[in-house]
Amino acid sequence: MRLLIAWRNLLAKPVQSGLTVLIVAATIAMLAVVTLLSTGTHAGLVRATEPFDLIVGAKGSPNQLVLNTVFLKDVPIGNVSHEIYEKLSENPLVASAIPLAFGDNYKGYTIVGSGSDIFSHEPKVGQGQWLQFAAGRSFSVPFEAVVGAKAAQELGLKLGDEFKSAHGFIPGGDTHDHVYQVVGILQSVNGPYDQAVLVPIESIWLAHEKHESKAEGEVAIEDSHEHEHEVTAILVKPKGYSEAMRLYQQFQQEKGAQMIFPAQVIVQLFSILGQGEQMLRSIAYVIIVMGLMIMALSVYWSALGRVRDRSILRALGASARDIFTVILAESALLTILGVVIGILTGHGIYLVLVKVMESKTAIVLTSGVIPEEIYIVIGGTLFGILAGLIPAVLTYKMDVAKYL
Amino acid sequence: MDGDEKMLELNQVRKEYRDVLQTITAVAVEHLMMQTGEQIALVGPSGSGKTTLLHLISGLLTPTAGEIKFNGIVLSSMPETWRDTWRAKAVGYIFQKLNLLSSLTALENLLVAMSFANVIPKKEQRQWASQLLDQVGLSDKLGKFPHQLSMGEQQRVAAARAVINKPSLILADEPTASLDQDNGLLVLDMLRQFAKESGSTLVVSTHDRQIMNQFERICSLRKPSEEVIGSATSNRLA
Ligand SMILES: Nc1ncnc2c1ncn2[C@@H]1O[C@H](COP(=O)(O)OP(=O)(O)OP(=O)(O)O)[C@@H](O)[C@H]1O
Ligand SMILES: [Mg+2]
Repeated sequence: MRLLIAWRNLLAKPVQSGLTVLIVAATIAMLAVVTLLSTGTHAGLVRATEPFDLIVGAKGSPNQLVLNTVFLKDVPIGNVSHEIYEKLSENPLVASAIPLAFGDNYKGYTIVGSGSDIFSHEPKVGQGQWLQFAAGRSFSVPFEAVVGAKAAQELGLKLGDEFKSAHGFIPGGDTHDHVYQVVGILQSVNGPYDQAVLVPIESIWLAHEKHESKAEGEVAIEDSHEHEHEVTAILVKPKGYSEAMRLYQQFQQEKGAQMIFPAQVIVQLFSILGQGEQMLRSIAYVIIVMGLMIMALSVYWSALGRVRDRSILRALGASARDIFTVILAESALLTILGVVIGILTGHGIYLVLVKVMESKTAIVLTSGVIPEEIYIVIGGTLFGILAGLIPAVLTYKMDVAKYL
Repeated sequence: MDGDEKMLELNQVRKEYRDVLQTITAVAVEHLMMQTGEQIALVGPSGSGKTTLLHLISGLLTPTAGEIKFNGIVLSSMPETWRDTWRAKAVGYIFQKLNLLSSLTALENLLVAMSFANVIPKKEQRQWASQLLDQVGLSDKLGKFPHQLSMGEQQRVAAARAVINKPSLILADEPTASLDQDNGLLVLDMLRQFAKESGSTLVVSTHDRQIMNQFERICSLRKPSEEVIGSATSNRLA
C-alpha cells in the first residue's frame, strides 16, 4: 500500500517524474556505455593481439607495425629481407616463425601472403589453432586462397570461386593478371583476420614480379629478384618467456629490422585511451551526482506540495515512519526506473557501437554483462536512495494538524 | 459493550498557539466526558475551537495543558507510534474539508485506511470497501479519483472511510457543511446508523440547527478568548 501511494504520487506528476527518470537514465546510460566500451575494447584489442607474440618488421613506428600486422590497417613501413626470416626460423629460441607479406587487396580486403604453417599456429599451447577451417583446406600451391569468415560472407566467396587481386591497400588499384581460386574458408576468429584473404606468399612474389616487370620495364626485373626474397613482417613465436626476452635482446643489434611485443604497444595505447576514458567517467560521475540531487529536490518539492496528503495519512493512523517510507519509496522508484532504463539504453547504444566497430575494424568488442555494471546499478540505486533520504528526513515530521 | 463505561474523559484541557506577539487559546475545556455508544453534537461559533478539539481527541494534537483519557489511558502519555496505531484502529475521522488522498481512487482511499489499521482481514478488505461505498450510493465511482468526484461525493467517501475499520470513536468535523440537505442527511444517517449498530461513540461538530436537534446530547463551545470556561453540556434526556 505504501508503495502504491508512492507510485501514485509519482504518476500524479508525470512530467516531473518523467524528467527525473530521464536524467537518471541518461547519466547511467552514459556511464554504462563508457564502461562497456572501455572493457569491450580492452578485451577486443587484447584478443586481436593474442596470436602475435612477437612481430618482426621494417624499422619505423612500432604502432604502425602493429596496426599493419595485427589489425590489417595502415600501410606497411617497408619490407625486411628473406634472410632475416631464414635466420629466425633456425634460431633455437624460436618455436615458429611465420612470414607475412602485404601489398595487395581484393575489393578492399587485405591479401595476406603467408606460409601454410600459419594454419597450424597456436597462440597458446593447448588452446588449439588460431585459424581453423569452416570449409575446404589449406592452400598448397601458389594462387590458391583461404578466405576469412567475414571476408567470405561479405564478398560472397565460396569454395571454387575465382578472383583477381589488385595492387595496393584500397580497392581500385591495378589488377594483377593472376587468378586466385578459393580452396578454404575459415571459421570466425572474432578479430581483424576475419577480413583477411590468405594466400601462399609465393603468389605475391610472383604477382609482383610480373606486375613490376610490366610496369617498370627491364630495370625492375632485376629488382624483382630482390623482392622475391622479401617479407613484410614475421610472426615469431618464441619457445618461452625467457627465450622471448633473449631474442628481443639479440634483435637490438639487427640493422634491417625491428622486433616488437604487440601487447606492449597495445598497453601504451590503452594508457592514452585511459586518460580520455577517465575524463568521460569523471564527467559521468559528476552528472550522475547532479542528476540524483535534482531527483532529491524534485521529490522534496512534490513532498512539500503534498503536505495535506501526509496529514490525511497521519490522521488515518500512518506513523511518521510510514510517511518516511512513502517519500523514500518515491525516490527509490524513480532511481530504480532510471537505472534500469539507463542500463538497457546503455547496452543498446553499446551494441550499435559494437556493430559499427565490427564493420569498420573487424575488432569484435566483447558484449554482455560485466561486473562493473553491477557496481553501477548497485551504486546508482544506493546513491539515489541516499539522496531520497534528504526529502524524507526534511518532510516526514512536519506538523500535521495544521493542514487538516 | 458496557454502556456506562467512560470512554473519553477530558480534564482542564487547553490548547494554545504561541507566536512572538501573543498567545492564542484555541480551545479550553474544563471537563468533558463521553460514554461508549454516545452520540454528541459539538456546536459553537466559527473559531470556537471545534476543529482543534477534535484534533486533540484524535491525538493529532497534544494539549498544552490538561489531559485526555481514552478508556482510562492518557493519550499524551502514549508513545507516538502507539498513538498512531490506536488512531488507525480506534478512530474514524472525517475532516471539515478535503478528506481524500488526491492520488488514490475512492476505493484505494478506503483500502489505505484498512492497511494501517489491520482489523479487517486482508481477503475481505476489497469486498467490505465496495459494500460501504455502495451504501453511500457510490458503487459506480469506485475507481474515480477525488478530483473526478463532487464535494458531496468526496464527503461520502470520507464517511465510508471513517467507519471502515469499525472504530469505537467516530469524529466528524462539520461533515455536512459542503453538502446539500439530502446528501447531508444521508451522510449523517449513515454515521449515526453505523455508530448505533457497532456501539461506537460519535462526535459531530456542526453549526446546523436541524442537525444539532437530532442529537440527544449537545456540547457547546464558546470562543475561549472571550471567556475561558468549560463546556456547557445539556443532556436532554436527563
Ligand atoms: N495552527 C494554528 N495556529 C494559530 N492559531 C490557530 C491554529 N489553528 C487554529 N487556530 C486558532 O484557534 C481558534 C480555533 O480554531 P478552530 O479551527 O478550532 O475553530 P472552529 O471552531 O473549528 O471554527 P470553524 O467553525 O470556522 O471551523 C481560531 O481562533 C484559530 O484562529
Ligand atoms: Mg473547524
